Amino acid sequence: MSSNKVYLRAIIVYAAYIVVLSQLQVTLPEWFNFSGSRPDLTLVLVILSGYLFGRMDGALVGLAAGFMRDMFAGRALGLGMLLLLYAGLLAALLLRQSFRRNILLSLFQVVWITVLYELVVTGVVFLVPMLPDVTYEASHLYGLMLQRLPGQIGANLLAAVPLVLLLHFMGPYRQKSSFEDNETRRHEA
Amino acid sequence: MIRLSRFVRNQVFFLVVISLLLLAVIIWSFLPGSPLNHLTSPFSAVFTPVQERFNAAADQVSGFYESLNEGMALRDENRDLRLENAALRNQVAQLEEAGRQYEQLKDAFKMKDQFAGYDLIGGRLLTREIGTWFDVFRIDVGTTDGVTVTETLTFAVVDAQSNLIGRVLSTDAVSAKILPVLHEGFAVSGKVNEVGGSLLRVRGDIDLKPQGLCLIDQIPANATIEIGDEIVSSGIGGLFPAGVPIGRVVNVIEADARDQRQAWLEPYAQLDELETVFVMIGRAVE
Repeated sequence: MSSNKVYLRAIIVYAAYIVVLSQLQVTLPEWFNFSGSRPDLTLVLVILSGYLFGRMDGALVGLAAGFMRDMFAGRALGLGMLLLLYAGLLAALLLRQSFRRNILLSLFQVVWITVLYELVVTGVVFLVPMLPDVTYEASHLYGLMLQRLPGQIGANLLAAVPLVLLLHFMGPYRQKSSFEDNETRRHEA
Repeated sequence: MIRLSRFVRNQVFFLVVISLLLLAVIIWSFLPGSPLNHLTSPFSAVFTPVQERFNAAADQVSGFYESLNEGMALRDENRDLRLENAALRNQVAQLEEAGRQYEQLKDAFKMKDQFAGYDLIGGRLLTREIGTWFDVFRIDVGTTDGVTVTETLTFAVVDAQSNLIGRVLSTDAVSAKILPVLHEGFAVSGKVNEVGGSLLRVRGDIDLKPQGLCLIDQIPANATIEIGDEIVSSGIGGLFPAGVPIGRVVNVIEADARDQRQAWLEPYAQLDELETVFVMIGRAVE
C-alpha cells in the first residue's frame, strides 16, 4: 500500500475513533459507571494509540482528542490538548522500547498514565482557583482524588480492553505499521 | 549521529513551542469573553447536530434499560397517573378561568411578572461533564441567539420551573458552556425568601458536590437561618435577576463566631435529569 494511502486510512480511522469516543464520553448516562466513575474514553484512546503505534500517533491523537475534550466540557481551551498530547507521548516513549505492542502492558500503561493524569489535573485545580476567596489545600484535593482514583482506574481499564482489541483488529494500520515505521521504511528504501 | 541528535533536538523544540502556545491559549481563553472561545464555532456547528443524535440514541438506550427495570412499577404508576390526570384536567379548567381573571387584574393594575424584564431563550443540553476541570456542560445556544459573555456580563440559566441551574461561562456561535450551581467556581448572592430576609452567599463546594449540595456562607451575625428556609437570588451584583429560586437549606453549621456560620443548600434543579434549560437575557442589555 502506498504511503499516502496508509496516511489517509490512519487519519480516517483516528478521526472516527476520536469523534465517536469523545461524543460518547459526554453522553454516557449516570448509571454507566464503575464505582462512581465513568470511563475516560479519549484518554484511554490516546494512551493506546501512543503505545501501540508510536509517539507521532500518540501526540497527534492527543492534540485532536484534547481539543474535543476542551470544546465539549473544558473550563478553558488548551488544557485538554496539552494533557493528552503528553499522555500520548509518554505512552509512546515509556515501556514501548522494550515491550513493543504487548497488549497486557498497554493496560498497565492505562493504569499509570491515568494516575499521572489525575495527579496533574488535581494540581491544576489547586493552582487555578475559580473564586478568589475560596481556596482548597492541596492535601485535601489530593485526598479527594485518591478516593475516586480506584474507580477511575477500574473504569478506564474496563474501557481499555475492548478498545485495545478494536485498535488491534480495526486500527489505523492494516499491517503492523505506523507513521514512524512507515517513515523508517521509506528512509531505508 | 549528528543527524539523529538534530532530529531529537528538533522534536523537543517543537514540543516546547507547542506547549508554550497551548499555555498561552489556556490563559487567554480562561478570561471571560475571550475571543479565543470562538475558535470552536465551526466545530460546534458540525458536532452539535451529531451530539443531538448521540443524545437521542443514549436516551433511547437509557429508556430501554429503565423500562426493563421498571416495567412492573410503570404499569401500576400508569394506572395511578390516569386517575391523577382526570383530576388535573378538572383543575386545569378551573385554573384557566383563574388565569383569565388574573390577566384582567394585571392589566388593570399594571402589574409586572416577576421576570418580565427578561427574555428566556430555550436550549437543549448537549454534553455532560467528564471529570475534574472538564466539568461544565454545553447547550445549543450561542452568540447567534444573542448570548454573548463579556468580562462584566453573563447570564443566569434556569430550568423549566425557573429554578437556578448555573450561569453562562463562555459562548461560541452556536453553543454555550454552563457553570452549574454545584461547581466550586460558582457563586451567587442569595437571600432567605421572606420579608427582610438576610443576604448571604450560595456557592459550589468541592466536598458537597458529590452529595448534590451547595454551601451557604457570608451569613451576617444577626441573621436567622433555619433548616427548610428557601433561598432565592438577591439580585445584588446585577448578574442574576432577584427572586430566582435556588434551593432549600438542609443543614446549618453553627460556629463560635456567628458570622462564621455556614449552611448546606439542596438546589431545586435536578442537574442529572436536565434536558432543556433557559438562558435569562435582560432586555436592557440587548
